[in-house]
Amino acid sequence: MAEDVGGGGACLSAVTGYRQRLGRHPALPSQNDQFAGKPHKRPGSHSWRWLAAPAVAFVAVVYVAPMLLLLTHSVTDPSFGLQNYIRILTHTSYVRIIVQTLLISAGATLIALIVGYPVAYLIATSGNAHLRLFLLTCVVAPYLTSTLIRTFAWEVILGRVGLINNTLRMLGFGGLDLIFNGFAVIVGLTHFLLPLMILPLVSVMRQIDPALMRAATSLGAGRASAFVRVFVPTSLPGIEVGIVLCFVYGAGAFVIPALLGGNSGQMLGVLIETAVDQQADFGLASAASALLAGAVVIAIWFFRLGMSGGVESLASPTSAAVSVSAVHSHGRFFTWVISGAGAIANLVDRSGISRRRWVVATYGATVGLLILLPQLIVIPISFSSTRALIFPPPSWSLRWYLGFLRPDWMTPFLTSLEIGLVVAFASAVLGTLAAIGVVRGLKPRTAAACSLLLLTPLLFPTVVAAAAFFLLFIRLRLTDNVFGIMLAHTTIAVPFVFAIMAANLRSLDPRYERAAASLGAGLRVQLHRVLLPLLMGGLATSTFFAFLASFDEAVISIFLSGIHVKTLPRRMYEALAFESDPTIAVVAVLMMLLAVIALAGSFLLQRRTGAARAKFSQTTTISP
Amino acid sequence: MAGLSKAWGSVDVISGIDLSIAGGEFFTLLGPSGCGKTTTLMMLAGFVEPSAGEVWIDGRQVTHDPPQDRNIGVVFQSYALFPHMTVTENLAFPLEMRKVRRAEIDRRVAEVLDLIQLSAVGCYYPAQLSGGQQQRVAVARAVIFKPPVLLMDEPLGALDRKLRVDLQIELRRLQQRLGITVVYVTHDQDEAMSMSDRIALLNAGRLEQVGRPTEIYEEPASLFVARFLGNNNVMQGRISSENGRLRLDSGRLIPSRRCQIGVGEQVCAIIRSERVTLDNNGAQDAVEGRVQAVIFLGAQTEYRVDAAGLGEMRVTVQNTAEQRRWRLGDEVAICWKPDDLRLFRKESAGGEYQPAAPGDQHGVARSDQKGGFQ
Repeated sequence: MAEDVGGGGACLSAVTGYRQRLGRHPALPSQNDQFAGKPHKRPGSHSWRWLAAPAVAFVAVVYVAPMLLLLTHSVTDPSFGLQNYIRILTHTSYVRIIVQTLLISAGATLIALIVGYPVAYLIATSGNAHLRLFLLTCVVAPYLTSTLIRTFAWEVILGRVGLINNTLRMLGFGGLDLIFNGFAVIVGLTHFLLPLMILPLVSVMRQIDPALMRAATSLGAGRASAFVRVFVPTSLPGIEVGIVLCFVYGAGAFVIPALLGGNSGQMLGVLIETAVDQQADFGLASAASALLAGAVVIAIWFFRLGMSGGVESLASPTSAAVSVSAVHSHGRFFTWVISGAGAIANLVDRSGISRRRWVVATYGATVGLLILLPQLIVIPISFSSTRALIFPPPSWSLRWYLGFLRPDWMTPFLTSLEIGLVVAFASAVLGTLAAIGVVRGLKPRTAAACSLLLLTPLLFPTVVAAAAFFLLFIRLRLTDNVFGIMLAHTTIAVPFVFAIMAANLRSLDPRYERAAASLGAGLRVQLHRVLLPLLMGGLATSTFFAFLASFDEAVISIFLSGIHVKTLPRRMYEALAFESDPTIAVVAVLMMLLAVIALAGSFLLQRRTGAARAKFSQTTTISP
Repeated sequence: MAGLSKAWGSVDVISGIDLSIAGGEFFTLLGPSGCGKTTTLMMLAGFVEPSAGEVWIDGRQVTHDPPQDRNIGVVFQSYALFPHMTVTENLAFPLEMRKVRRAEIDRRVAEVLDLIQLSAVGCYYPAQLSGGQQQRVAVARAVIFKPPVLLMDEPLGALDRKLRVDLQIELRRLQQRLGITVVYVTHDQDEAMSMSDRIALLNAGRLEQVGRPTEIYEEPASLFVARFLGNNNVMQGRISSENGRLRLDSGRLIPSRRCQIGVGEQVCAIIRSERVTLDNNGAQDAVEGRVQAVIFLGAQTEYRVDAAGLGEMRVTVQNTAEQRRWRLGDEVAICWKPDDLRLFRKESAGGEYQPAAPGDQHGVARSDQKGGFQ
């Protein structure tokens, strides 16, 4: 889960940085101007900056150090030199895997962009509140299920006796070879990336002045033309963030290609894991990881040229000074795409399709369902009586539920639970303190750098981190060890808490603390009695997400688990990779149930305490 | 000639608006926040569908036409300049939509930039311009394709006072030069009165009065109109049996103007603060009072006087050289011309006041009246 929710958390907070980039009218007072992320110089603010120190130190030591070690390992194992790199870059099968990784990742990102953009548009701008809520639920719900479950769902759908093939056979057609190849990987990956693409888009689109579209239509543009020529270019920052997040995740994907790719759909992540787990070829693994990390950095760097504010705007919601020219230098490629699309839009307008609003809404709802439904397929499977992943199941039975209660599954379940709770607590403390320290205590430059550091685990492919952890921990004897896993998971969970709490803090009026100070409250009291109570909602949410991040986290667990210590995701992965066993469906159902209960609980809690800041507030379309 | 009329509208927000606007006229929709003026404008533009009623432009019905087909220029409160396009590209946009040739586009853009005196900023992006410059570009973009009608939704709201006044004059000049019909929305009465040929005052979705600025200011048709404009003194009382006098609720008797309200009826009497004087000059019916507050406003001074039997009266006095200045606590004698009073009959329980004096009737558009106004 870490790798999937990670991007979401980063992007949700990251794109708030784009608030200031979207040509907001400078003369109109924006509600948030007063709270703009400038730390206010007041006596004592400097001591708050040390609150960030523990988290920064933790991430630096536990995350960054192993990465550096990985890098050195790649040039020192088995002996000093670049042989590992040479080996990878000259061996055709390795090269093929690298190229395939980039292609699959780019392809899935592109499809996710094209498919998901209209959905994001609907969520952000539709006047129909039911549609918005429905779509948003469809998009966010997958975050509550782990990658393993979603991948498992696709196995059921695409399998040889799965949903699609059985339906085709019923209709009289032959079966199709849909699984264990590149196609399945792209499908699974795209499905996975859609929420990751849609959420940053929504965040940015919400800030677009609705008057812009009206202005365009009042000037004579049809709806489709106005959309393509005005709305899309203005949403570019969101597109950029979405592309970067999706590509980075895609390049580092492990679970999806491992389970769906078979022999022909291999990606770098799988190569790394095989090298570590099965071949103990650490040199190759570290070189491949370094290459992957390098590709990711290059991708981010490349987009940095097109984005203003640099990587900080990805990582730090406190937006750095925006250079005006950067907002508009869209580059010839983009302009070319837009004018091409503009011509098509013209045709669409003339044909009159764009006048029928239900076209887009229907499309959006369909995509929403396509995002939501696949994982729901695990529910009927969990009641299947056969071991094979046949859909629809031939008959029903509760045997897998009973099977779950054996120590075979219960032990990993309890292990995951234990780890999750400790990680949630630790990351909540570290992350919150860090958020307070960074947002309230640091100057913009340092704040941006710290944010970047703290959010790095979210940006980097988890498989690289997992390899790095493994290489380091095996020397410290921390593999196959609960504490080791806790350490590793905390590095993934802290950025989560940090991002959410930082966003909350940024929208919290600093004047409450000032008022407290003017009334005589020292820093500690301000923290206790002013800040924390106001942040309770955010704290609860982020702790929950931190727990989920650890509980659902698969990749690191796969690397660090062993005979003695095994997490639930690891057990599930084994079940998926080596046996085909619907007990996973049982786990999936239980985990979804858990997530739904927790969410419902927090929702009711928010209602009760009345602390529900309108999270999905509607922009009014008519001013009184 | 662009004339338009509209009637009715979405039931909850607006009811029964009938307006006819002449070509080349500067017409303002004025009213407090939430009165529906912007919604009305949006219906004119085509962004909001009316629940009932019609919109006609130039003799053609456009009620159900989408905005892109109405050929109207709109200036939004936030200007809505496309942030990813330069000023030139923004200006060229409507012409591109109308498939004008490139050379012609360039010519017209240059012409319009010259008109708003911003020829130098063509290649800048909106975010690089000042508020006043952006406003002018927004107006230019809305008129470059020569629409018959221009709609403006509180375009000067975001600017400081000096700039606002300058731009008001410039807008008016531009409008007269182009001969274009303008429908302007604002909540600022000074702005409305200084710029408009005619004003429509709205309150809670209904039209209160339509007329020239002088008309609605001097002869308000309803209590709401009277109280919305200007600085008012309000007195409540009854028409007394004594000749042409008003007995206030406090018991005081004051001279009143002739009107058609019967004796004993409840009325609300309004007098503008600039029509009240503090000098006695031996007038008979002067009321004694004491100065409670002196508010210096630059060109004028407002005095709040506690007058016997009248309550707190506001008096505005021009600060000329010869004008006497009073101080806190001074004893003064308030008086006014009875003809300057405006009387409104108190209607049943609703408290909706109707004009009561002869000559005070100006077609107030209510839901049961249809009117065409010149």
